[in-house]
Amino acid sequence: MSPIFSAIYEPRNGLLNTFLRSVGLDSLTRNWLTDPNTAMNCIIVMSLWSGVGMTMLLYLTGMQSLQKEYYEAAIVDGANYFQKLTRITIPMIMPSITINVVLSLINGLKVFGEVYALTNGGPNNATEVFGTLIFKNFGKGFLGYSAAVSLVFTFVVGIFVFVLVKLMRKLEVEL
Amino acid sequence: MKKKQTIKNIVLTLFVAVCAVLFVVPLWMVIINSLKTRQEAGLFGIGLPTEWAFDNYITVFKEANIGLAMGNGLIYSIIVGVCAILFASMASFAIVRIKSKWSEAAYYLFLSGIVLPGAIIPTFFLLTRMSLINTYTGIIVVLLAMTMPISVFLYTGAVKSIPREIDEAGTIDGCGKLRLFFSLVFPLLVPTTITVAIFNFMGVWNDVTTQLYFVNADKWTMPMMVYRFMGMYSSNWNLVFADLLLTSIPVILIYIVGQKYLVSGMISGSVKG
Repeated sequence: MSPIFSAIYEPRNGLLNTFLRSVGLDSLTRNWLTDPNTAMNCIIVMSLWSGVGMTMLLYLTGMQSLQKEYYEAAIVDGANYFQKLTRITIPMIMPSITINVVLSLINGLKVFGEVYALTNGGPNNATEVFGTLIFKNFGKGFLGYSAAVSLVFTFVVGIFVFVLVKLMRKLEVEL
Repeated sequence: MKKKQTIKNIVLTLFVAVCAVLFVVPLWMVIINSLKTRQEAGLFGIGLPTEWAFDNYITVFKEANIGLAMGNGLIYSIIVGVCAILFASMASFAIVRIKSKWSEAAYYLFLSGIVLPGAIIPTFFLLTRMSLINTYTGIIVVLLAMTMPISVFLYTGAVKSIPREIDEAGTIDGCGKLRLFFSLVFPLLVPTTITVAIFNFMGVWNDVTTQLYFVNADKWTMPMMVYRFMGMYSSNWNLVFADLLLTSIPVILIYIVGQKYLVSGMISGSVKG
């Protein structure tokens, strides 16, 4: 869905700059995608926009399976809203949180299509990710280098996920 | 007390509404601008068009090779979907029922496929050696390898919840292994099958990396075509938006139809896996 966002970030008439001008923040308008300081944030916002739906769906199902009795017991014990949140809701949906964190991390590390379409590694390599680095070198014919990058990539993802899963499993409660 | 509660509710509702609007605005922009004339779409306004231009869609159909791209996408997603369902369900049945360290190893091998990124260069050389580069067979094989891990993961969770007694009853009645699987176990896996089918369809339909590396433009599917179309017609935003909308329609349809199964399958797979 990257073309939508290239339209939003379009410097002349794009939605974002038009909006900023219409509320009088002309000084904030800029060439979002060609400015090295903002390009990465633009891609992050876009990934967030496309990824939040799935994440929310998983949380929703996690929360729907919670039983009302826990909350009733908490109210009887005089727990306030904040205590209910930290003592019941969050521990009970910890499995969903684990899945979401791990999936988001994997998707974030593996991102390619969005970056390729919006900036392709972008102004002055500001938005270079593993995917675009591999693709660029592949295109130039540096096959060995690009294979080395993907091997490093594999190790990085593997280590991150392994450590993260270990940490997150510790936080989950046994019923 | 009561009044405080309602004010709080109104504030919360407003907050949620603002968030929802923020999410819908980009989609709305695409829909509304795909119906505008070229000059107007170039301004990216979010108001209604002064002149409804429905022939944008006709132009896109003629110019953007939608027929070919859609055909390619359907070929890939259907063949990959069917093969993945067949192979993954059988694999996970074996993984769950055969208790040995090899089946465990096979399971972890599949799981690592979800986490680790695909190795592009070795795959490229392998396909070139087997003269499968730039062929339908080649890309289907690669896509199948990409979709298998998540399919096996979801199926394994489901097969675990099927009691072993069913297998035993089948064996006593004289079922062979294949018959046992296809007439007893597979029908019980239908909800998971739907989840897997949707997942694989969406994965294959939206995939760009594989096509970019392994095939030429005549075998690209719709998302890749949109990128190319955007390069060719970057000043005709109305056409780009129309193309974009056509690309997402199949995914949206499938998602609406299968939403219920998608979530339930995801949960049962991930919790029990």
